Amino acid sequence: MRRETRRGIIQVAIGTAAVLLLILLWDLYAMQVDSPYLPRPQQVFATLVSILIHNDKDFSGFLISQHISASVVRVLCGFGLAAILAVPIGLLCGWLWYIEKAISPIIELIRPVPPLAWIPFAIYFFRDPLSSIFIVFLGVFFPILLSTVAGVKSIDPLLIDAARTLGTKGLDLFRKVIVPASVPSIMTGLRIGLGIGWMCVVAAELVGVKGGGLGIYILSMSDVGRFENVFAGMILIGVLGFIIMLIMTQLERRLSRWAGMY
Amino acid sequence: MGRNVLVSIQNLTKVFEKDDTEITALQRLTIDVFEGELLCIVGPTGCGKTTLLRILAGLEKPGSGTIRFEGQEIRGPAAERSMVFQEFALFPWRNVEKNISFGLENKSLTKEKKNEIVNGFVSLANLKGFEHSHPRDLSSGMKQRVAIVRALATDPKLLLMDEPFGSLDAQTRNIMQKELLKIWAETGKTIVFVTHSVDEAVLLACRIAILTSRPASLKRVLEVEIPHPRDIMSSESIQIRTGILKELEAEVQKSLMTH
Amino acid sequence: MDDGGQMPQLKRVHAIVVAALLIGIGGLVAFQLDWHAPKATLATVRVGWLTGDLHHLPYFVARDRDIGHGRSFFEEYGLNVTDSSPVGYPNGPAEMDAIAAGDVDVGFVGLSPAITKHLNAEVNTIVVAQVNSIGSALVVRYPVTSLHDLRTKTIATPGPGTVQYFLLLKLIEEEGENVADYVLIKLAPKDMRASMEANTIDAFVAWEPYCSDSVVDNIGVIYKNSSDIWPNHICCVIVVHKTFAMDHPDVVINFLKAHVKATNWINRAKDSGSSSEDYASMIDIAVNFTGRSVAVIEQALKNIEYGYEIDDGFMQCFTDFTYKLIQYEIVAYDRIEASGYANIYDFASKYIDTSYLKKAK
Repeated sequence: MRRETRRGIIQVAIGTAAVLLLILLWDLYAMQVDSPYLPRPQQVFATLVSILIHNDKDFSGFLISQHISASVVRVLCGFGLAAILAVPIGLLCGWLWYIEKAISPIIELIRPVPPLAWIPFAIYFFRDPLSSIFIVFLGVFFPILLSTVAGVKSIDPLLIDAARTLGTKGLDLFRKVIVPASVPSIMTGLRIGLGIGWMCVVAAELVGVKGGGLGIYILSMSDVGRFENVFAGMILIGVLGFIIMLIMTQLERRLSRWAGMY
Repeated sequence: MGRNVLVSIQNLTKVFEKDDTEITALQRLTIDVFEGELLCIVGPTGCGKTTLLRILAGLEKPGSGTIRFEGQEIRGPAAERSMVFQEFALFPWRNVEKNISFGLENKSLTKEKKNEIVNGFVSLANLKGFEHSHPRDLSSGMKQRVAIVRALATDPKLLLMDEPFGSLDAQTRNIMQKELLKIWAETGKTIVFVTHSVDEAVLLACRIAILTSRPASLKRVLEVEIPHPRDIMSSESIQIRTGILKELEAEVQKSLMTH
Repeated sequence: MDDGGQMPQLKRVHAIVVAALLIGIGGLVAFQLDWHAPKATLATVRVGWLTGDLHHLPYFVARDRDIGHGRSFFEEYGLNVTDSSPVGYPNGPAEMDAIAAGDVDVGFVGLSPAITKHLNAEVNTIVVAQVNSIGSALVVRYPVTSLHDLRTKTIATPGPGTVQYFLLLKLIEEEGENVADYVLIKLAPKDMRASMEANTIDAFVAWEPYCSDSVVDNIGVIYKNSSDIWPNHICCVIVVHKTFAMDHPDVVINFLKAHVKATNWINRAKDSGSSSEDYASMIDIAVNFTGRSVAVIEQALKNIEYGYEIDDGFMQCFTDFTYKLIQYEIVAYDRIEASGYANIYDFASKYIDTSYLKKAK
């Protein structure tokens, strides 16, 4: 067996063992607490399987598949919007020092505010679907922006020198050198941003959304005391987030290969 | 080889500011570069050879003094004065073909013409079959060959080379030196070649400019009239070499005493 | 002393007299204290109620000292009541959570959370009395002809576990609509008016007086009263933590005695007309604990029916409620059996305990 494959298998095995250990601890603690407010893993997984297989409407009128797709769509929209804005702004900030100086104070003031704190603002100024997308946007925008700026700044200066001595300048230089050279950093920023955006899902759906969503699902189930469903929903969020990250990491690798850095 | 002056450098001074101290890299340097020649610049390490080259390329501004290219002041980098770097500086996201054609992209030539030029240089650099390879797949020698023909693709009037073979192992270096001479013979370009290897200078140069230690000015220029290809072991070569080494040693001693 | 034999005798007499006096005085004092220190013998009850919920007026009436001439109804029956949450709970489900956490002994809560949280989350309570029926409404910002017009608009409810949400689902069902078409958000009723004014919501379902509050000031209009959605529906009930009831049955009975007295008092005050003194006191109490104006309270009171009885009508409504909660999937379908009941009727007969109320009337 090739060394890499063996490594890979060991990796998966260790990871799985760790997760199983965690579930075991959960079970022990739940048995001790012995309250419906902390259901045991068996109950949660049974509920999860049942939800996924039957895919029935719950009292909010939505199927679990609709909850899932609603959240995914929301996050992708917020992500897409943030990426479209943050990447160009980041490239400009990295390339033109005066733009960075102008924008930097605003960014540094807004960035520490958690997306959750923007909920009243979002509710007041936007309606669904923009209100929830806005919350996701705030979580995603800053990591992408900062990664992009860092990417531009870390470009090997010799590449720029080489391009200039080949007669390239101004916009051409930006387009032909700065942008491609920043791609790996941009991809890293996108990956991180998407992860954060997915974490914002529950917060984002607090603003009042149409079409269901995993965040709304968890909160509603909590309200009526169906905690197995709450935990099942949390597991769904975790697993989906994991899958999204897996896809993003693959994309990141592909594009870095294209960019010749890998 | 005519004696037309391509570049005229007069009393060039360049001062850098680093952490509150001023470092004078070049002090009243005066030298001419003639069309079609291969001029080597040697000098003690850190004397400012690279700074001179970068000013020639237009990547740095001269402090005081004049530097004229074809009679005009150099205002910034341009494709007519292209440069080859020690670290190759190839664009990693572009393959060999695309690296070479980089400088052609903003020229108004037909696609066929561009392809012709690129193919020509691929042949010149002995890289047939590697057109679609990426820099990460190439050996150092191959990378430098790409870098050289990339710089040549724009048909520059002046080719600047900053210790281009410094990253290569001895064998590859030898091969590359021969390749360079071949390319130079075929293209007839004016080349300004910075190196700290006296052997290399003696092997390649028409003229050798010896710089003083920092702040650098011109110590001496000597003509090397041995015809190419040269034997580095011949007595003539050894004589010239020994002479240069003595002068460099003296410069190094001087710098040790004053700094 | 050098008296020899006589001293010990005198001493003994002295000692006996002093001791007798002390015992006598001590006994009298103790007796007095016992008589005149009701606080020392009052049982403490921690009570939960919902923020600004006019349905819970009987509790505040039973606490009031003025109408009882210096003593509240609770105190009359030997109870010292404290508020589990000084400002009340934002909704029924939250209060049921507090009961589960052991913070509340007796709670005024909507029937939906009382049923839902017991079945879904095994909150160990029993229902011992009714508090009120009807008294909620769907308020809309601008008049609509049917619920259909509110699709894509934002409707606020106090949360999926509440009576108000349940009534909205029933209304949606009745008008043939699909709950998935509506944007429902969760808000505390005290915040609903402000949101409506700010145009961030287009409608809300709340308990009185928050409905009348918006209507009286022309923030919105009532689309449907809950009495039109489900005539005479039970709204709030009194639940008791089962262990507490078993340990302190007398406390529960006394609590209900005060509740019965307060409920009767309220109904008499309502009937006696706006010029009577009791009516004015009632309005006063209501204004104080809800923070609404007199006009709003007067309007709201017209929409609420107070009653403590658990009769056949109550049982019927209770069973129907449970049935519908399961139909809407608010209560998971298997929870009746999982909670140890044979069926809905078994659940109703065991979860509702009328024995305390019988002794309190």
